[in-house]
Amino acid sequence: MNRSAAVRALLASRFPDALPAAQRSWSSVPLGIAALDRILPSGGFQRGRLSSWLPALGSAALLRAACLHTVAGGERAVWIDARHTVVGACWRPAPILVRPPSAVGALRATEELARSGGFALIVLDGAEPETTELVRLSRAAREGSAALVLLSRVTALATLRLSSRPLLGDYVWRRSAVGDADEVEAVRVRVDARASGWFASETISLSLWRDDLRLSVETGRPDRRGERR
Amino acid sequence: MTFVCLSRLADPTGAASVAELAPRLLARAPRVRAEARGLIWADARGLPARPLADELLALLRAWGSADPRAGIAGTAIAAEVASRFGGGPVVEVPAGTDREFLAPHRVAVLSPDERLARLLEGTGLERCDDLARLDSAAVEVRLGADGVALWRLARADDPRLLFDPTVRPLPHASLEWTDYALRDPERLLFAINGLAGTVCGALRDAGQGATGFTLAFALAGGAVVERPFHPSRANGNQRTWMRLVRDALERLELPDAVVGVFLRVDSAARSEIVQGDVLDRGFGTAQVAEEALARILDQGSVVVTPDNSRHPVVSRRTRWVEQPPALVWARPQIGPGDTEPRLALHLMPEPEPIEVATADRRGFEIPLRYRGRDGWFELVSASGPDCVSGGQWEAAYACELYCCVRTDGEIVLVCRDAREGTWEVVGTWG
Repeated sequence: MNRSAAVRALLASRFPDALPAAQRSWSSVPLGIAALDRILPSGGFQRGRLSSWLPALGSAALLRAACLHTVAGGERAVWIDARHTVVGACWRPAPILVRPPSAVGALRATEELARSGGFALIVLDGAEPETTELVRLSRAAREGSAALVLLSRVTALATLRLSSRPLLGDYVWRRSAVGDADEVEAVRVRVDARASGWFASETISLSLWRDDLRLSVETGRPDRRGERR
Repeated sequence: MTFVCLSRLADPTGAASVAELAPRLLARAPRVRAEARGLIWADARGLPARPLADELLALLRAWGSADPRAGIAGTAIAAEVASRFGGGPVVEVPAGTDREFLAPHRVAVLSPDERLARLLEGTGLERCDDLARLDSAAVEVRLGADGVALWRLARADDPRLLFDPTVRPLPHASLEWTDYALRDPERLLFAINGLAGTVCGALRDAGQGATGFTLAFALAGGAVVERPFHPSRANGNQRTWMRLVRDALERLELPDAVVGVFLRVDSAARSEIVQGDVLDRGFGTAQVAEEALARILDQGSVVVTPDNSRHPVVSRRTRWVEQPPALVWARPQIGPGDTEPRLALHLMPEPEPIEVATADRRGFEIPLRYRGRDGWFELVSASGPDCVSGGQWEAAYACELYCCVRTDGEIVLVCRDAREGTWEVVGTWG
């Protein structure tokens, strides 16, 4: 091993998050899930482009994972929660979570952040932009080289369109604690990726977040406290 | 030269105290400080020190002091020793020679306390130079912390802050006109933009940003309308100010025409520069990211992070804590397992009331299908219920929560209010 290779190896071992200057600008932001990155035309969400993901089972989970992977890679990810649906108990606070005052505020915030150039991945959840607003968002993403993903039913102007579909027959079940009914333990979803001249799909398993904080002493009996007489 | 020290102000029978004398000297020196042990200090920074000392001595003589002395030096201790033990009416220590000036003087001129003076006698250290030549560890071992402080004085290293930092007035600017009155917001903005440029420039020069500023409109009828602004962070950016002002002007209704505008900074803070991590790939863009976040905060959005309690109701469990834009400089630590995708609960903005067909199971009404806004949904499974109730000190609640899987594969959280008997969908997994 020559000296420069040795120095590179040493730097890679000491500073695993540091990136060589030649790789500073990636053309895409990977999701961090190898199976899904393989089905995307550029191995992830394209920087400077608009992508859309239809809201369905698994879409938010996979986008959250993409945000976490982006942050783990040393870049910034933002989740814009337009409808304030994120539950704090199951939110991993590594991506920046923005709660705008309204749908219009969400679009403004998205445009501002996308244009700034300071964020690699921006997810807009819960807003349904009009065509003119989409044009503005698309321009902002291009100016700031941000991968902008809309978690909405609007797919116009999106260069990459993703959708996920639950495969009910492949769900993993288990008997409940009292042996009454089946509880779903993990789900399987099929993710379709469409782009110009591109279609690919993949199935992936996802586990479920469960609220472990249960205070009920006897789960097998009705809770009648506070019931009106 | 920085300090002028005045000593031998009055003979022991003098009636006036040193404190009474100080205000007279303020006519000559911008800042004066009197000490109870009979010393007066004058701040000579930026002034010709020698003429100032002469003037102060003349004032003292006119006041009745028989033989006042002045010492001029770059450090307080050298000025004090020059004044008290210098041997002339005015002793000036050349710049950079304070230590050399102190060197031949006895250590007693540094005013050590009794215990320390005895210790010094025992060690045989007589002159300042003898003490200054030692290293700090040797002094600390033998003489303790007080000895180190004296050792620093002997080296003309005086940490005393005799004069507090000058408090600068916060910048402000105003514009008034008498020939006409303005009603057009665009023309008002033009005037305000000029004022903001002046004020922001003054803030930048001082290395500060405003955490609050006020725009006041003088109206033709004589009234004044004030509009306070509170930027999301210490801000001295004219563009940000103008955006805030523009947004406010769009909503502001003035009862009369405007004949003057006044812009003042109410509170300011030092512009913070955060030390980032140079090995962070986001380091290079952290500044623009912070500025972008500050802009969206000014537009009413909030950056939040959850603070979870152990409340049994998931919707009441989280207190959202607002975060500053400087959050972007943080580098969260994420392990490999943290990036695993997992379905999480999303609460609906408003719970959706539903009509439910149920069956009995161990005393509970278990949902079989429900009708919501989009029609009927058959349920494959309804696990639960999780019974939560409480609210002794707030609104009482009693809920039965079911995790339901629909035939289309979607998973919803259905809640039965045990008090009202009503059903609603409160969230979905996504």
